[in-house]
Amino acid sequence: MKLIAGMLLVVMASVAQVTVAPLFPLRGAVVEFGLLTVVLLALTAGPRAAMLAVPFCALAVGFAGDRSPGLLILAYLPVLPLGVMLEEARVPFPRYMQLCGLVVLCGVWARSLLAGAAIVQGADFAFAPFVRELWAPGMVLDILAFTAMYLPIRMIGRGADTFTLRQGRYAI
Amino acid sequence: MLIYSRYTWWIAAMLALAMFLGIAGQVGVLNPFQGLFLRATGPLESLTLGIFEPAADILSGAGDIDELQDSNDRLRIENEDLRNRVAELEQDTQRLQELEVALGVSQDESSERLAANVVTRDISPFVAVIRIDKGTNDGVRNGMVVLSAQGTLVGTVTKALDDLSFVRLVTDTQSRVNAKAVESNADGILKGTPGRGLTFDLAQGDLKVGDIIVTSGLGGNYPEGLVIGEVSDVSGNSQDLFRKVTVEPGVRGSTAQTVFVRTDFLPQRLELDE
Repeated sequence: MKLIAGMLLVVMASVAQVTVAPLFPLRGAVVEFGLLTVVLLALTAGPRAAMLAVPFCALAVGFAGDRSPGLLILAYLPVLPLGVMLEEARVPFPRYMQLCGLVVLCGVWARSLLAGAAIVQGADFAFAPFVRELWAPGMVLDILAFTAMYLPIRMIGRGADTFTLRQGRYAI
Repeated sequence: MLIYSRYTWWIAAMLALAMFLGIAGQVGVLNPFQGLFLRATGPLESLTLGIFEPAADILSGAGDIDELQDSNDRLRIENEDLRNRVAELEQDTQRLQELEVALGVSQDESSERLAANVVTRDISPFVAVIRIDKGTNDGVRNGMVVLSAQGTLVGTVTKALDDLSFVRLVTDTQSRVNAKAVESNADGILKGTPGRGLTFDLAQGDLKVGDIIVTSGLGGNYPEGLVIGEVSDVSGNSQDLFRKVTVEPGVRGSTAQTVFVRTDFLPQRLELDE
């Protein structure tokens, strides 16, 4: 049942990426629903589910938008290791702030990687527009979208809320 | 250490999978699966669009009322100017037809166009790709040219599946079109820029704001004479070897609902392959 729900969420994310995201752009950036899905699955169903979700999400979003699934795997890859690093660093901030930091860092990585791939294939690069059009608005969008999805989940008290494999019932 | 070793194995596996998918995507192995996936998610996409599009329209409309008013005033003046130009052109066309009849020469300029609906968009500063609801079953092939209802160049088909196709817009950063200015005949390469704009590179000649840019037909990837846009800015001085020329696209492919695929034109390289 959990697997079906997870798959459904991944499919919904891929559909939202090509239907909802382009409708609400902020400057040049759009919400990366695939990335947010991986983060949310890690928080609600545990890191093992997120480990499985990364390739499926990359495939689904890649198929929907004709992007390279291989590149999207690389874009979503840092979510789990970075989540563990943040947990172990014991940053003196509330959990929500830590997670926003994680989402922002992963968003910057994902957008930079996708932009880097376009630059390698011949796109022009200028640093100022890159920050103005992509990074900064992308960070705002990621925090807004993450908040909109995460807060209801926390309010109903659902979720493992950890990226660490040894903790909770996800330990093997 | 257990955590890191576990994630290390997972990361290694993901890197290998990414490499495999990268290669598989390049050789087209994933295309049948992509076709199946898109067919299955099609109804869900229509449903999602139906729910969110009205909300997006309201939001964008509310925020842009002043801008729309300015744009409306500007367009009213431009419309009047264009009506006058159309009248002049109609007279010229009539005269040209009379001359063609008199000289016994004529050109058949009819083209076969296939109407297609835009199903989804993948738009970001570096990517401008749309998906249309016509594919190889309807005669669409890779490399075919996609136009707006008015005949302005929208983009090129990059991947044609059975029932749908992906179209790379001219404003995509990977897009390159051999183009020329109608007035001065200065030719160059039109490139998409981050932020969905266009620059006219390597253009030499007396270009000025307002010049119409059309495809030059060089290279054989596009038919000659398709309107792409209008020069909106020329920076640099006459000493510069190449000036920086910015072009405003004639059509915003990222918001178009219906486009037309020119099925009678295939890039020359594809004709040779076949």
